[in-house]
Amino acid sequence: MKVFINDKEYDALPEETIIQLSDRAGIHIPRFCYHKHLSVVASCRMCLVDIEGVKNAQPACSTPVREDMKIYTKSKKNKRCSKKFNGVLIDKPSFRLSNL
Amino acid sequence: MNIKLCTETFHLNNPASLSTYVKQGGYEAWKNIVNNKISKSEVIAKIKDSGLRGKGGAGFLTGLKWSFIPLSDSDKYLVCNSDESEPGTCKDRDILRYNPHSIIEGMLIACYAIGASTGYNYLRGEFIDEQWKVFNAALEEAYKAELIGNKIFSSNLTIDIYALIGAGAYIVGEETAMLESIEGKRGMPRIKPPFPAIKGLFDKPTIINNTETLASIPKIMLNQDGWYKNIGINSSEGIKIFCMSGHLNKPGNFEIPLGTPFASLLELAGGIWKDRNIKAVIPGGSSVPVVKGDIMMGVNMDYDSIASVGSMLGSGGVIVMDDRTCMVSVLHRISRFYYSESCGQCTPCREGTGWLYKILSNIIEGRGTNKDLDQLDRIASQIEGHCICALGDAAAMPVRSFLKNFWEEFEYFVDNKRSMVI
Repeated sequence: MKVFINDKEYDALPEETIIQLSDRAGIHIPRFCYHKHLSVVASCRMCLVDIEGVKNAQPACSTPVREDMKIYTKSKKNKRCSKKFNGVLIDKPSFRLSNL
Repeated sequence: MNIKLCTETFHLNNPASLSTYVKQGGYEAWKNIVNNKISKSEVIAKIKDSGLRGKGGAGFLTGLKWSFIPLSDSDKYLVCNSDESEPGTCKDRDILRYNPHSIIEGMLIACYAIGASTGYNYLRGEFIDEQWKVFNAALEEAYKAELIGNKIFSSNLTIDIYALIGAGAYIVGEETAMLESIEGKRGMPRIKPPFPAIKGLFDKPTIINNTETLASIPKIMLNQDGWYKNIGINSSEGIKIFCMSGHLNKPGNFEIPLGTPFASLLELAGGIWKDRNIKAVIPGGSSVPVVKGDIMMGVNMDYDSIASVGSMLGSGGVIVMDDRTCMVSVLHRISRFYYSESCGQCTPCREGTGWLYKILSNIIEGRGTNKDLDQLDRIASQIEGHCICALGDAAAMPVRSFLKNFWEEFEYFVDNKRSMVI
């Protein structure tokens, strides 16, 4: 199955998820809750990737690959996601919050 | 036009009883379908043609939703979503209280159309005192009259309907969270796909419809083709209950054809109280973007018009605010709701809603800075579209729209540590 990640062609196995393919291909997608030996919960929303033709960013760990799927791991939508996690999980928006 | 669908029995004596409902032409559609052996595809086609949209919020075409169900012989389920928890929405509670038989008949027709033999009506926990009792009494009456159960009207049709009561979680109004709750698990949304029409309740194909949608179905089936379609306007066919609340003289539920101007809906609700002016309107329950009052006065109540001013029709819970409302306080209260109702499954919503609430609390308590306002917008934009279910969007959309429409009021609050209007 032909799948494009960041405009580069990769050969995907059927019923593989995006994160499995990207791990095999050596493309790093940040993640917290995904582990290959555990069931997929898709709750940390850190591995969100942009897929052509899909409005919202989708979690790479739970989205299966499709023929001719075009995936972008560093698109504008995505940068916002990774920025979010700089903001959301690592730094709190303001340290004053912890006093509340 | 004075057409009533779901609110037909509201003004009658003893509105919830079977005899009242039958006098209004109740169960005629159901009898007609069973006795004349109208095929499932015909029922679905009729609902599809009517253009009936889901009345719960998303506005998805009901007939189209039904047609997604696989034709296989496996077990299927119908779930009626009566977990009406959207702040500002109070239509389903009145349908359950005053017209429960229309829901039962609608559920029977829907069960028949999708080939399900079991239907569940999931009521929100707060309904236990009144609506739950009324609905169960109606269900008992319908069983006694042999309208539900085994061998309905001596055909080989068996349909059972059960009422379930929730425990008061907002999130269970999300369809997949409701399925989890019915299965006895924690009410947390599932990852889609697979969609419930393929793999829903107990892993079987399931259709979930709103109470008002199902209650509309008997009348659509009873009348001839095109009747429902001719009520509203093009692309927003039919009739909808709007729950008018807020600073009004006569708040309440008003069932009006879609496409009615907002100004006439406001008139029905008695206008703004104390002769004040309109400031803002939330047109579809607290989770849709707010619209400024003067813009709203020129809008018609239908899906496209409301979308053109950047909001949504949603569940039809119209919250009207007068010119002495502090928008910072309103947003603070709304964000408090989403903060406490977030199920905690996915990070952006669990963390983000709390932060939104805490930053707004800071502002309200006079500790806000101008940076906080940008931060609010940024956090909201990072929640929007990144969550498993629509609750994340629901929490983020009001924040962004309040900031966009009433920025100067927020700025004034931060600078002066008090509200601009009080």
